Amino acid sequence: MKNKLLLPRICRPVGCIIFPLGAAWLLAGYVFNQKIFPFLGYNIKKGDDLVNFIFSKNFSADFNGELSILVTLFSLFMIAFSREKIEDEYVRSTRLHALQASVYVNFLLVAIASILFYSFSYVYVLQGNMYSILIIYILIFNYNLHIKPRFSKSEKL
Amino acid sequence: MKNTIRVERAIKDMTQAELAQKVDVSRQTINAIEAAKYVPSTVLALKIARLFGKTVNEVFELEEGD
Repeated sequence: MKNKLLLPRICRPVGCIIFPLGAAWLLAGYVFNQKIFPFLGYNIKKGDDLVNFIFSKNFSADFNGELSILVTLFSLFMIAFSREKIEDEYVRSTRLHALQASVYVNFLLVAIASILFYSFSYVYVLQGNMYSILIIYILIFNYNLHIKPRFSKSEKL
Repeated sequence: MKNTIRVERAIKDMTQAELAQKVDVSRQTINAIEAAKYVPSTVLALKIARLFGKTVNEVFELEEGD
């Protein structure tokens, strides 16, 4: 049985390259309030007939935030769900266990964060929650598949 | 579930990687099966047993609690 719901193997290194860039872009926007690509923002001043019709005030928007979120999410998705070199039943089983474990760990983190964070700061918890489940999944899956067997006694005959 | 894959490999002078290649799985899979951390599917168990010229019962054995 072949798992067809996976991305091609090349997506993994591509995701690994894009993720730090996306995460840096995201952090620059949220933490340091820096707009890395100013051309992604625009302002429409009051006075324009269309603007007067739709908006009561001057209208401005910036797509740095939206695009950085998408780039980060897609890069994590590419790392998490790209095909392994040999995609067999053990890899599928490991994938399933890692997904289950990541949901449990993420649930625990959100439960703890719900006690510790209040009011507006809780929004950051929810934003972090978008990435945390994928990050935890990637860590657990790769640890179980690639790192843990290195410490196994029956590695070689 | 216990298995004698390690012994059978030794008899045939075969590495984990060679066995993995012959039954079309990754080396990690063979490693996990030998370490009794993963129970293979019926298809894979049959393929491994056939490769060693044994029946599945001769290679894989149920343990107490299985």
